[in-house]
Amino acid sequence: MAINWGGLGTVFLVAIVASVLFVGLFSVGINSWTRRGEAALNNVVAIGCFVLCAGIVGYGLYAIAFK
Amino acid sequence: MDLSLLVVVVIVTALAFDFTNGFHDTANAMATSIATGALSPRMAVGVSAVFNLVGAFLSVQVAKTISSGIVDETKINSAIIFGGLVGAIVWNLLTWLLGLPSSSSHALFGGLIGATWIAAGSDAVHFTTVIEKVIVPALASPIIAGVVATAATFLAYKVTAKADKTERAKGFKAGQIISASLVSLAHGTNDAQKTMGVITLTLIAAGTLPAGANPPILVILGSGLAISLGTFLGGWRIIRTLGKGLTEIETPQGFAAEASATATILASSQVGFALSTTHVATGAIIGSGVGKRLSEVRWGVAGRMATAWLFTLPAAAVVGAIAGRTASLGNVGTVVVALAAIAVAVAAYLLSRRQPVSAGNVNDLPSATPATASV
Repeated sequence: MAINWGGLGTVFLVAIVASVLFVGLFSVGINSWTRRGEAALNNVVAIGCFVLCAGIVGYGLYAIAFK
Repeated sequence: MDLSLLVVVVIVTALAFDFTNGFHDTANAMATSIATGALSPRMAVGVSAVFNLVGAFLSVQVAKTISSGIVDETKINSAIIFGGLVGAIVWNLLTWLLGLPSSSSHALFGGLIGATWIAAGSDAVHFTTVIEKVIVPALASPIIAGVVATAATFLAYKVTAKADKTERAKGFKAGQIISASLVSLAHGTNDAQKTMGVITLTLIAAGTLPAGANPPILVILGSGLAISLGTFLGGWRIIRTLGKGLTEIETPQGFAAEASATATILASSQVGFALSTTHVATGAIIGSGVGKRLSEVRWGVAGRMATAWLFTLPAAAVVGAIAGRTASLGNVGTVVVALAAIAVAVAAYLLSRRQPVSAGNVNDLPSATPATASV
C-alpha cells in the first residue's frame, strides 16, 4: 500500500498559499476601503486588491470548469 | 429500449441518492453564510441550487468508475449497485435526522463495499484502496482544511484589526457571497458526476448504451436537477449544526472558512488526491473558530461529527449488504428493498417533524448543545 504523502503535502501547500494570499489580499482591500476617506491612496490599494482577488476567483472558476 | 425492473429501480434510486447528497451538502457551502446573515436562508439555498445545477453541466470529466477502484467492478451487477445506493441513502437520512454532516461519497462507498462483499466475497473488496482513498483522506481533510482556515482567519482579523467593525462586516459579507458560490459550484461539478457515472454505467451494463459512452443529456439533466432540488430544499438540520453548533461565526471567519474550503477542494481535485467536501468544509469551520482569538469551539459537537464519520462506511456497508443480497433474489426482493427504503425515508421525515428545523429557525442554537457555550 502506497500512501501518496507527496500528493497530500502538495494539496496542503497549494491550499494554504492560495487561501492566505486570497484572504490576505481581500482583508487588506477591506482595511483600506474602510478608510477610503482618509487618503486617496487607500482607494487605489483597495481597488487593486479587489481586482487581484477577482483574478484569483477567475482562476478558480477556470480550474473548476476546465480541469 | 427495453429496461428491466431492476435497471429502472437503480436509476430512480441513484437519483434519490443524488437528492439526499444535495440535501446533505448544502450546509458545506452555505452554513456559514446563513449563520452570519450574508445571505438569507432561502436565498442561500437558492443560489447553491443554481450553482450545483450549473456545476453538473460544467465539468467535462465524468466519473468513469462507480467505486474508484474500491471494489472489483467486474463483479458488480445492478443488484449490488442498488444495494449500495440504498445503504448510502439510509445512512444519509439517519445522519440528517441527527443533524450531522457526513460524507455522501463515503456512504456510497460503504454501501457498495457491503453489497459487493456479500455477493462476491471479501476478495472483491480492495481493502488497501479503501485505506488509501477513504481512510487517509478522511483523517487528512479536516486537519488540512482546519490548519488552512486557522491561518486565513488569523490573518483576516490581524489585517483588519483597526478597521471600523460595521464596515468590515459589510465587506466580508460581500466576499462571503462569492466564496460560498464557489464552494457550491465546485460541489456540483464533483458530486453530480458521481450519480451520472452510476446511471451511465448501469445503462452500459444493461446494454442500453454502448461501452464507454458518455452520459446522455437526459442523465446529466436528471442528475443535476436531483442534486439541485435536494440542495434547494435545504438540509436545515445540518446547516444549523455547522453554522451555529461548532462555533459562533462572524463574517471574517465565514469568509476565511469558505475561501479555505474552496482552495483545499480545488487543490485536491487538481493534484488528484480526492478529499471529501464535507470533511473539508467542517474542518475549515472549526479552523475559523480556532483562528479567532477568544472564540470558543464546541469540541463536543466536533467529536459527535467525527464519530459519525467513523461509522459512515461500516454502517452503510451493513445496510448495503442486506439490501444487495435481498435485491439479488429477483424482482420480489427488489420490490421488498425498495419498499423498505421508502419506509425508512417516510419514518425519517415523520421523526424530523417532532423537532422541525426550517429556514425560519435555522439560526437558533441547537438544543443539543449547552446554552452556556454561547455566553
